[in-house]
Amino acid sequence: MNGEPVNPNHIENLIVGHFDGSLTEEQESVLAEALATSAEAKQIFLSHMRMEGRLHSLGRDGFLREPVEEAALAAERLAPQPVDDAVRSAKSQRLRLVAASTSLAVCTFVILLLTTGVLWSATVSANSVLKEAKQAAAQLVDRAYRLTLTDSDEKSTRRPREYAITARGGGRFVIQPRDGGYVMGSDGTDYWIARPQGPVWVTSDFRSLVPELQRKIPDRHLLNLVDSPDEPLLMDMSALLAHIERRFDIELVDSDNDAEHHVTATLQKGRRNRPTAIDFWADADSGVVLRAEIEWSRDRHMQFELVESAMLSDGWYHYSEHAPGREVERLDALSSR
Amino acid sequence: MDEMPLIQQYLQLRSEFMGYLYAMTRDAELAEEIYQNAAVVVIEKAEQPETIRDFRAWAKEVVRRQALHAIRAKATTARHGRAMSPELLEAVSNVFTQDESAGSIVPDEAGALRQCLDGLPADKRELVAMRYERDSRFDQIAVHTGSTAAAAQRALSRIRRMLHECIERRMQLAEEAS
Repeated sequence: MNGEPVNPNHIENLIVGHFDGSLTEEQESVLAEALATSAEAKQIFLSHMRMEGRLHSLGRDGFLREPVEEAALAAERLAPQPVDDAVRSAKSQRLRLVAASTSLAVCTFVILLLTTGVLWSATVSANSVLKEAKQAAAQLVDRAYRLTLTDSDEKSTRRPREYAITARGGGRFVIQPRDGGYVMGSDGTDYWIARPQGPVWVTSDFRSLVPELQRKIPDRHLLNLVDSPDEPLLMDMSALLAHIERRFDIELVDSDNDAEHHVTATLQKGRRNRPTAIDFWADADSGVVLRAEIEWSRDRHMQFELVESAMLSDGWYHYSEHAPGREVERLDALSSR
Repeated sequence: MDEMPLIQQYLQLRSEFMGYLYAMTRDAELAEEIYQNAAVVVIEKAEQPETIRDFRAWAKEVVRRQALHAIRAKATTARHGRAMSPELLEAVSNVFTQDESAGSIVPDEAGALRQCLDGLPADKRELVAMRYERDSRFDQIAVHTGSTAAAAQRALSRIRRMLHECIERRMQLAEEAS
């Protein structure tokens, strides 16, 4: 079982290379052989494996950027405590829903803290809510929102327009107006748009899509929103929260609803062409933003409301899921004609 | 520990399992997904009347099976260029399931890692955060550091080795002191 002696340095290089994904087939074969025959190689691998897992866990839970606090370790040590309520709560729902809210460890840790009454009551603030919301929004989970745009002026009042948006981090989204006039999205690499009939237009540069689409798509306002650097269209909630963090003063609003935290964000002075106020409501347990209201002016509002969290396949954001079998035209090519 | 609810025991083993899952998939997102899927199995198990004698061993097997299932189901090749060789997959799985390291080593190593991370210079710590917090690829890190993807990979490899050596050193010191 102890096998042949190995060169620890060489093995460690292979192990580090393995976690980098940089080994050649031959090197993989050498590492596999060492792991199968050398007790020392196994121990080095296990030790690196535990460190890798711990680094990923710390990173996932947001504890790497600042000095690692006791809280991060406490999540790993979780001593036996009277936590039956929290555990029952966790069991009562499918764990995917827990995952959809935040990482499992952080979520459960927060639940445990809540049951012992030491977290929100003592430390909740607009900043802490924003931080929790950012962490939750950073999860690679698919979230479906209902977007409502309201525009009116002195001469007319337009009916609010509704869109369904499904978004995941990494720039993946699918958006469709309620009337189904088109469906538009990005799989993180290409942007695409399709109407009920006709081809799918695809481009890798979203900005170059706009002039083409302005001739083809009736809902230009939405495209302007997408294209403007000043408009947080919220292809994922992270964009909005980052926007708030950079440009707005935030304040926690008192609320009778213990299940949510309400934060109101006011545009800092001197900023133009940006929303004047953003309100968002985050789930008190998970930090997930449940709804957000963005005010551009007295007559112009956007409202996002979380419909559901889910785990969709990567392929769901590809146009082939939404316009199967259609002819594909690359707009980059069209532009250069 | 055995009197603790299963899901809590499972959470305590998170780092160990995530390490294994990352070693198997080299994909943080997929590793997390498998970990969550295995957690569902743990929760469902908790609702059944029979008891588990050795939870760690049982949970390891659950995680291993979920990992193999996910690796078969997902075309990881598409994301990473080349799939890991079957013999290495098997070797890693065997190392994981046959590991009999004392459970106490986990919190001790966690404490050591914390101290080692706190001792890292800010620029190295930023690289670690980019890799493990944002799951950035080497080419993305290179843009941030103004270097090349290969240089970013080498830098992170050195940091990993530094951290690992630091953990080993601290564990050894603690052992000598006790």
